[in-house]
Amino acid sequence: MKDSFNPSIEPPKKTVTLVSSDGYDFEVEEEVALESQVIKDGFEDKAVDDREYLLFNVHSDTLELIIKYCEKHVSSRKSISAAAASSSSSNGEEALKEWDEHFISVDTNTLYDILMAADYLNIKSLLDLAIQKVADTIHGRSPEQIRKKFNIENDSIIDPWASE
Amino acid sequence: MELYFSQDIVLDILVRIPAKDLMRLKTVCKLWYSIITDSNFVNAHFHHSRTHSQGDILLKAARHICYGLDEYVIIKKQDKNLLSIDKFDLDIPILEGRGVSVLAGCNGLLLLLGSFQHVYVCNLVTRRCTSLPPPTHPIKRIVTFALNCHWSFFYDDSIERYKVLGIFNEYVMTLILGDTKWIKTTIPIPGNIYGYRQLTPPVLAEKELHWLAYLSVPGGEDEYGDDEQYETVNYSCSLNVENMEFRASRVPTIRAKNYNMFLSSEIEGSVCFTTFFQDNLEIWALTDRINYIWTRRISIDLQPLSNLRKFWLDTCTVCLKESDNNVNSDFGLKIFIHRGEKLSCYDLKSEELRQVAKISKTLRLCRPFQFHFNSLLSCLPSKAKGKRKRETSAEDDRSNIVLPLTAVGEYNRPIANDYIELRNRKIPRRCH
Repeated sequence: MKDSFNPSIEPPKKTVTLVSSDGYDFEVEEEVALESQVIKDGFEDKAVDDREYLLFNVHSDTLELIIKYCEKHVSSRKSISAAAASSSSSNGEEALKEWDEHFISVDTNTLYDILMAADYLNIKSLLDLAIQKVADTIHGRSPEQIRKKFNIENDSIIDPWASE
Repeated sequence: MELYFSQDIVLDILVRIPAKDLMRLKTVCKLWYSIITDSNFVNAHFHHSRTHSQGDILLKAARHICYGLDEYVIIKKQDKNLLSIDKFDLDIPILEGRGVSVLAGCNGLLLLLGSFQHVYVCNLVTRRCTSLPPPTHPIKRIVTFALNCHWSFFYDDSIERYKVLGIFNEYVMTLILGDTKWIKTTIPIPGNIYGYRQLTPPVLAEKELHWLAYLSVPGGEDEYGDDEQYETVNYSCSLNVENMEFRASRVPTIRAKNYNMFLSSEIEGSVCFTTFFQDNLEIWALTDRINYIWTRRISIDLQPLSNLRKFWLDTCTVCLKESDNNVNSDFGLKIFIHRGEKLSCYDLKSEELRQVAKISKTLRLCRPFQFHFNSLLSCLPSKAKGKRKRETSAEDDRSNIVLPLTAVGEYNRPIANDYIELRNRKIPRRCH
């Protein structure tokens, strides 16, 4: 990754095509796509001209967000390492954290979509972010509210006071 | 919209939820109940909370004339280095109103002393309380043994059980949780036992308990050639909790006014103690564990505090990391000073003293504890809960063994295999 960051001998950007479940093509840079562990795992074995991934479980709306997230993380990682190399102080990590916070502040359904997609594509940092967000929303809610929120059927026969 | 999270995502979500909320969320559905009560999950949950927070600080303020109701102040670290300080109530039904004091803590469990010298282990979140067999007194004449003892409570990896250990002068009383008998050991304290006084509570680090003590040892040169001369010196004592090996070594500190032993992940050597002497604070660290050498690491001038008369008499030092992410940050030593009804916190960096809480005037700060309360663990290996546990197999029985979690200090332990096993037990994923 580090070798590729050299302005003088930058190779032409390789791209990968991601196809969403509803049939839209997304052309993204290779390193952006490689944020996904699933894509990374089988990447080297695939022929260069056959780098197309059909993502049956990811809707185009979600995929757009995911790509936005990966692009941001790739670019900010570069700027952080560049800042570290020139030993100039930067608050890049904090800025990224803030960006993440803003990014994940979405409505519940979108959040679940992102979570499922991040799990499916195995993007660990995004999955952590989404799971933490869901965990935060659970905080301070009653079991009844949780059931409603997660569409969970009340099959509980446990007396709530029995555990006390 | 229908949503189906796979079980490992549900697990990942629940692992991040405070233990107190989980107690309520057990009733959401059967799946959640089975997850939350699973001992693997309980271990994973505690592991997660321990790696993501450094725990809360409990300051104990005791009435020094008559034994009785102690007060506790809990200091929680919040975002952006803010401290929140609250009164801490030990509202445990079976011990209510009887003057409970905290003796020690480990993995979210507290070792408590109730009235009539009864000792309990209690998880304040699950409210599960275990009564221990009353400690037998090492020698007959000590009536208030349990109160005068220095206690330690920890998980012993080698036997996979919790251990309670009370040190009273040269006597050590040990109880392995689940056993009924206390074991008495005598440690070979050098010098004159009548001159021995333990100065700090023991702190556990890498299977050794460390504490500071005064010792009377035969004095060096005497101009009359009289060998009945004794001098009082500071000693550091260490006791291996597995084989009860004891070692002690003289530490070249001055006789300070206030001592505190603590663990620090930031200062090399990790086991540290602070000494106060009027306007000077020193931090010593055990830099060479094998040869047992203590070195002075930091010396801080407390001149700004000198206008407070005898501030060191009612003071606690607490080690709180400044920021979780920033590696370069200073180690967060905070000094809590109790004056009148005010509890103030002195910031070493800004040399600022600010009031943080109110505690009763008659109490005196005596010691800080560092605890992780966010835990559902119980002190005994949980027994299979008969009818409630639906799938009891050989695998489940094996999983009941509590994760080896030794006090503080070992934050970087990898996730136990049990957790990974649990994660791999997937339910079929359905997507919308």
